[in-house]
Amino acid sequence: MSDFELSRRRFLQMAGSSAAALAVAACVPSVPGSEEGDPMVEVRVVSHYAQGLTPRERLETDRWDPPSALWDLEAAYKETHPNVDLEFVESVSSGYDEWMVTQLTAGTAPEILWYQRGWIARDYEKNWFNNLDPYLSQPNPYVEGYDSWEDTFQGPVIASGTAPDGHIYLITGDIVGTGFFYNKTRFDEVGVSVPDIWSDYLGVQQTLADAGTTPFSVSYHLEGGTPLYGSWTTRVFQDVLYDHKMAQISGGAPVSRTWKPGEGLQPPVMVRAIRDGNYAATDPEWLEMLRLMKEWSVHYPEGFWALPSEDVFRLWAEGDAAVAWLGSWMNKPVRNDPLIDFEWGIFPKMPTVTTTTSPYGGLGFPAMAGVGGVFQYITTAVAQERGTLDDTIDWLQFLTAPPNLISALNDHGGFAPGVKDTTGADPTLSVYTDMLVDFGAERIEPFDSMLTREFVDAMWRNLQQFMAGELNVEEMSVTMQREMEMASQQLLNEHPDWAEA
Amino acid sequence: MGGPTRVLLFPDSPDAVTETLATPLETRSVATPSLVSRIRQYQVAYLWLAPTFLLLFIFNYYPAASALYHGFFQWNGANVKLWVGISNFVELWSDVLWWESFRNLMILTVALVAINLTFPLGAAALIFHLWNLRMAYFYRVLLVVPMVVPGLVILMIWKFIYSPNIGLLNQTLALVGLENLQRFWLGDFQLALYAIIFVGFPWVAGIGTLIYLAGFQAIPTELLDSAVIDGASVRQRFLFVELPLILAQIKLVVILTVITAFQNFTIVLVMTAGGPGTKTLVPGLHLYKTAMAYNRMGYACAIGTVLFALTLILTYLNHRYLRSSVEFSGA
Amino acid sequence: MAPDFALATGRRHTARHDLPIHIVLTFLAVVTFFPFVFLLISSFRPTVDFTHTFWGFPQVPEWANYRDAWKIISPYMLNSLIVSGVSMVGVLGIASVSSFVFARFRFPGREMLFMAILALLMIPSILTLIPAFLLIKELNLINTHWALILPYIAGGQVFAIFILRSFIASLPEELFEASRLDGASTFQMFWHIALPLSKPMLITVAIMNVLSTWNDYIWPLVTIPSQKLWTISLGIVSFGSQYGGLERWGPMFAGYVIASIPLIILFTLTMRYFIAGLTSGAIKA
Repeated sequence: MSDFELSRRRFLQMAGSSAAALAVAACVPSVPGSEEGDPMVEVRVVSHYAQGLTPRERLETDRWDPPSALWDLEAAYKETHPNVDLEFVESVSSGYDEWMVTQLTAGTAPEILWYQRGWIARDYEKNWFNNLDPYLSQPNPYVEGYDSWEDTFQGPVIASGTAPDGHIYLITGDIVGTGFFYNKTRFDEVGVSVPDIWSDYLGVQQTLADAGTTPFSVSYHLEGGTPLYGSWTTRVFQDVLYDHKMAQISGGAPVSRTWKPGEGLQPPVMVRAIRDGNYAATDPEWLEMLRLMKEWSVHYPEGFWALPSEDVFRLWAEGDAAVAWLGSWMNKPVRNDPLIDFEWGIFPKMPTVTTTTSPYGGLGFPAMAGVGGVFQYITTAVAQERGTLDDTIDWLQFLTAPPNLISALNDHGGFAPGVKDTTGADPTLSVYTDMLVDFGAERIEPFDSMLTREFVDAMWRNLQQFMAGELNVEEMSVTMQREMEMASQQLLNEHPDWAEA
Repeated sequence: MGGPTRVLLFPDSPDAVTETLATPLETRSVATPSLVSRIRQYQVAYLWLAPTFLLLFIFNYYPAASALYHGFFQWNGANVKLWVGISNFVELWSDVLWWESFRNLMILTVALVAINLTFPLGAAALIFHLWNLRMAYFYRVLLVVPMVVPGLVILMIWKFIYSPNIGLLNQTLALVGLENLQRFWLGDFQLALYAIIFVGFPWVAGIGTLIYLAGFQAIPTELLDSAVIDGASVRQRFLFVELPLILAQIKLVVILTVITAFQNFTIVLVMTAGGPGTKTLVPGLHLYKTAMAYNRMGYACAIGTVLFALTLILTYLNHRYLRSSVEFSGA
Repeated sequence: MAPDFALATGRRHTARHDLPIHIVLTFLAVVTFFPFVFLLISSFRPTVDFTHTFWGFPQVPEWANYRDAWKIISPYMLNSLIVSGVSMVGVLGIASVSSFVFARFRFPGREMLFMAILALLMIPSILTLIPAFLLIKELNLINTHWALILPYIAGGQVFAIFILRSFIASLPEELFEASRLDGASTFQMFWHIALPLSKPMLITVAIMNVLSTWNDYIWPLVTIPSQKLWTISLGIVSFGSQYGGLERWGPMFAGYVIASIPLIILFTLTMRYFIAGLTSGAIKA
């Protein structure tokens, strides 16, 4: 609650200054608050599917306070916007694809929808959601000291919502951090410590295995495991291994780990790189990634490609595995589990692959943090038809004002703020934001949003087979190269303008 | 018609029933009347069918026709809808995933038909052969109860039974000293599909067993009595008297099994997502992915159309070649 | 039939004859019920235990799972009762009429129309999800229980007609003949002969229908945005999570058990007819 009090005070402070900002910035959508008190004004409803942030009451079996910050923020918002009603759509934990696709197809979707950046390339031309550039380029009336709304976010965080046409359609406000959660007690018993470099790390794992402990808990189950762990692994490895080729792939300047909107390796860039042979699954760098992954997997649990992803945590919590690849969303479950009877910690960073391990090594890994968790929202096109788009944008601007965003994320407890000003963020969460600041974000995302959804699935299918030993390195790289060429050719056919930068 | 008449749950053809069991209400027309006059004669029948077909046309035929129609389009579910003729079907012909999933579906269908021809049939036969009627009733009740629990939660439990490390199956095998039988089950490239088939073992709870029981109970007592008098053993009685008499039920179960096998993909979606690799991918899941994840609605409709056509053909073949025991039905 | 021998041979003889059968059937029942017993046991397990003692017994039963599950899903119970109840009555009403017509009239096109109905069983439901949803939207039924009830009636009658038709066809013609001689109308024959005699089968159809509508998930999810109108299966899912590890397993399992209770009550009340409908194919002439 104290977090909320804080955000409320700060909100009131800001409300005053934002009124002034409004008067100046005429382009900013009108804030309906100016009409308050007029009984004739119709109340407009903005409905918001907030996914994990959807507020709910605490139940008896809850081990910690469930998310409720949006109710508090709603109350604060209503004080200045009495003619806007907010409606939080109940969380949909299964069948979300069907729900989203049908609602968007029929135009019955809420104004604000939780969405993932990997879907943007598939949907951005369908006129399902709005280009937010006009709003992002203007100041956020609820934030002082920044030239634009866009500028209040960490570069790669807001840039992740960019579509192949260069416009931003998705407001991303948070960071999902991942980390190697290790069993300190077990590490001490076996006499190993957190390694700095990859070759030491393989040694630590061998020692743990020799002592009868599974060294690393991870899953490549196709339902849950591969899309998560396969995605993170390939991203961070390729960021390191392809570092020297970044300029060649981008067809211009090398991409930095603090890339900003327009600098990322968007599908059109990747399609050209694949066409011109600057990026291929048969590259030595690609093969090197496969070699490293395979070498590492010796220490994964037996049958890890069939391990239900829920068991990744279970193996570790029961003490069967010494390290588990978990993340910020497990913050509360881990801290509120009285049955975890060992001391634990998180690797401060992923051990570096040095040049002795790999000819393409040497550079430290980027942050093991991805952008976008619970706070990735699109504004649907129907908001415009319903005449609620301005209210929708205003509510999002209010929500992303750092104190408000941080109070919502602290309250949820599983995701770190993706804004520049992290004052007041829960330290167990801000560690992930710091990681992003210190190590930067990965620049290349080989699968999730590189080409088509069909390609993503093909990748996971084949990666699972490769990791399970059904495909060898050659077969894997040849198959993936073929899939890559097919998908990029398909995209080129659909978007002839992508052929030239 | 001295003995009990029996229900044919799936008679050879609708006509067979009326010819052997029931005569039409209106039998006055002796001379062959024109079609128009016959239609007029039966207007009440059409009138009574109107509510059924009205609802079916709105809520079933129209969406189905719309889906089949869209199989000829490139359609993204939003603003692109282009007529592409049969090119979706041509693409399907060379779609590797389609053929993989089709191969899996064939194995799955054959296995499920084999299962449904044995386990539920065996259970029904055992219950039928119980002398203690009260116990027979008790078992029937028992087999019905599991039908009330949603399948989804049961699938989640099976997923954890199969988990390679802390799954119940492997742990139990270790407990009884059979470590060498431990497998990765849903992660085994040769076994995964069979592990999926094994879900629901021993497959006796549900409608199949009840349909067979219906068949057994409808067998005229005289036939069983005379078999006993002729000195038939239990095995002979089962093979030569009872089995031929429940062919109609067998046929019904086979048809329902085939239809379910062709449509159900929830089990694969929940347990393996089609993996490992494509070893448990089925056409239904391929369709689902194509529609919901790739938003290639037109192509998805084409897959659905082909699935529908295949089900129709299989049902027809089953209907045609699995001769039912219609000759006994008038007993 | 088998029981005749039983009467002739006495109780002890019966027990000896039945023993091997009991052994096999008990084995089948135990294995069949394992997941269900596990569901029941797990519904008393504190959520945190799902991480640690997944297969064991909970040390202290967590009744709070049930209190929480009840708190969340009970408001939806009434909705589910309305939707499944009205759908069931609709299916019975419409399907019994059509089944009667299909079974007792030899009108031109009968076989073709019947096959047209049967063909609907073979259309994959995922295929028609989007067209059906767009239709419901065009009809302005989104966010009403009619969005569920009407398609449930339309779809539910297919299997109902499939089963009821052959049942009514098997009713002895003498009964109809006699009442026709007494001057009964077609409606009277339907109402006074076909319907009462079909009671076990009607109840069977009713239960099968309730089973399929009660647990339906995707269709209500997409057509009913307003939480007030949700059905029970939607309520339970709120215990899940899109993030692995954040599921509230305990109340979720308790929710599944609670949601099954009305069906079990329904079963218990109608078991006699349901079993009879599905298993006693014989009607004495």
